[in-house]
Amino acid sequence: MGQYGVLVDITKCIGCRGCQVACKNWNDLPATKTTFTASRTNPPQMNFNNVTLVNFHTIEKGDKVQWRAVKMQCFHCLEPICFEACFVHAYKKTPEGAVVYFNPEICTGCRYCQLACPFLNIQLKWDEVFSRVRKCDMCYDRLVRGLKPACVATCPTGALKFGERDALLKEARERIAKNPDKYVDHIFGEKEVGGTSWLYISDVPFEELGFRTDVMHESIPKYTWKYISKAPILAVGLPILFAAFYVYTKRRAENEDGGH
Amino acid sequence: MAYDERYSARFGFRLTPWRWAMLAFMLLFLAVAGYRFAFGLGPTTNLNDEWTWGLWKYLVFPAVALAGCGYGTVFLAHVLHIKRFYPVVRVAMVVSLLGYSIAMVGLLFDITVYYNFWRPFVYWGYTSILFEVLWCMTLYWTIQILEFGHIAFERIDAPLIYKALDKAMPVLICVGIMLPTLHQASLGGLFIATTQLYPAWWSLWIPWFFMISSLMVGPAVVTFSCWALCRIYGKRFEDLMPSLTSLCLVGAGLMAFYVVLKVWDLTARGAWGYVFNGTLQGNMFLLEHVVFLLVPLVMFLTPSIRNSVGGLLTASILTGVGVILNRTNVMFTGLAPAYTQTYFPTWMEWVGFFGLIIGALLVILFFVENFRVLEGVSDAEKVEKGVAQTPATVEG
Repeated sequence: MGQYGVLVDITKCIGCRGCQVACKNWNDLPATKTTFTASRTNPPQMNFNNVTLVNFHTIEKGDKVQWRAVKMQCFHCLEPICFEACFVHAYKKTPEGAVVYFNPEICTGCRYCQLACPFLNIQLKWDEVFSRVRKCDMCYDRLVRGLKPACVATCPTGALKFGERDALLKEARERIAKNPDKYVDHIFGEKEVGGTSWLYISDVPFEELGFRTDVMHESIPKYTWKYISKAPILAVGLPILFAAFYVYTKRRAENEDGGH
Repeated sequence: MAYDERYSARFGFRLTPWRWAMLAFMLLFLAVAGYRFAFGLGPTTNLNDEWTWGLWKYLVFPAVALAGCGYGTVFLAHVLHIKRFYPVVRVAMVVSLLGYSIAMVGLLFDITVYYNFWRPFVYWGYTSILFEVLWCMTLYWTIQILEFGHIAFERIDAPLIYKALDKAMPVLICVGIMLPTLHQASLGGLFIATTQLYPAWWSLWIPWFFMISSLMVGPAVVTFSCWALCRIYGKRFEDLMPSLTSLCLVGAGLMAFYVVLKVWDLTARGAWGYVFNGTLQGNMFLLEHVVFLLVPLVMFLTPSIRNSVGGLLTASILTGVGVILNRTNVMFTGLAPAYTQTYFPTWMEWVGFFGLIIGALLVILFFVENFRVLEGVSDAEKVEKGVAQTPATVEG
């Protein structure tokens, strides 16, 4: 079985925010007070009770100004840095592809996962004393029962499509190939940070839609691991080296003392 | 009462008006601490999901960097047995111990589920660089407390403990230098994962930049600490100048190495454009590396400046500010472009920040007054009056 993923076709999204509501329903998240801003994005920021959010962007296309709605949530990296960064193993990369914060009990609340996430998609419950984080878990409890994530199941226009990542990637390529004038030739999530389970295609360049397109195309854990794996050698080697220095220079210092 | 007679008197802590003020601030600090532990970070701080590491987490980085004065000086004095550095090594060790204490207490303040602080030791998240940082910092803090115990039990009468510590010292020293070498680098390594960091600072070499900068700032911290303590206790700072100028030369060598490495790194990554683009980040990078790195480096390398008290001290302060600025840039300036929200600490965060620093200063003063820390320095007054005096010395 391959890893699952979701393909988001931004051209098909009408910005109904049904996915936001479905996410709340399934995960039993309380309503939050909405605020009026210049954008239709509401609430204006992702937070602990809104781990998915439809962001609205105004785009200038020729002489026309248009809206684009972009559903945001955890992208479920193939090699997630939040999992690597957690020093108690509170995260899990499941074989189904979902990255799950599965053991909040042992979390210390160091928030390194939040800092490290290249897409800033992990949220903390700030108004609680022993606050912990929440992130989209691709409705893992639904996945294991053979159901689609709640947001996908509720999407009325087919802007969200659930399936195996490889198949979705193929489909995304086909859609772009069929309509090269419409789509930007870029599947966001194909290569970004080594690949993500959520894939996006769009008719507007991704950097205009609030995507971080400047992220590296290799997986970040590859770099952190390259560094951390050297530690054991140093931990054993350095004290031995220092001890050798210690013995040698001490003998020399004592000889000098005896000499005069 | 002359300073040196304190050792033979009872334990004590003279309360000057300044010290009363500092203690009063500590009361406020304790109140804030109580509020933070009772109500959590949300009401106490201005942190948000983007600026998730704020002032308290930040404090760890400069505190541990400046505490790098400990392992570098101990390496020169106790591993390489260079006698020239014996007079300043105890000051370096005590300042380092308190720097780490700030960091450890600060971390406990900052983690939200603080009763879970022990979990990383049990759940073994070996993939995380933070895991290595925590292990090394905790072990090294313990070792530093034991090393200070070796000083403390010279005075506290418990011969068995003193002898045991004395026997253990070589092991403690050798292991105790490996640990900070690893975690000073790892503290920088934490920022390999934050790929949103401004490219002038983000580099795969950032662990080594953090490690070398913590070593190169050590002599500067020792110089400043010795000068401040000599001022407070009316000691002759000039007595320590031979040790400190040599130490600062070692520091200058490391600074030069740092500059070469930085130039190489920026060139190899083709990141010079990010330095000279006139943005806040680029300008802060230039400020950090020109005013607070190249200028003190030149000052240290100029014999006439290095050998004068004012020159050595000014260069040391510049170096210290430079390393603090570097950590500030990496944690705040360099991450700011990636975030849309803003962050400015609340008054309670500032109280926690300064409370930890002031608390550490009070403990340093207590240690220096009650244990043999500042040694081998004659009294300024006596020397001026021409009274012959042999300064007390420290055994290796």
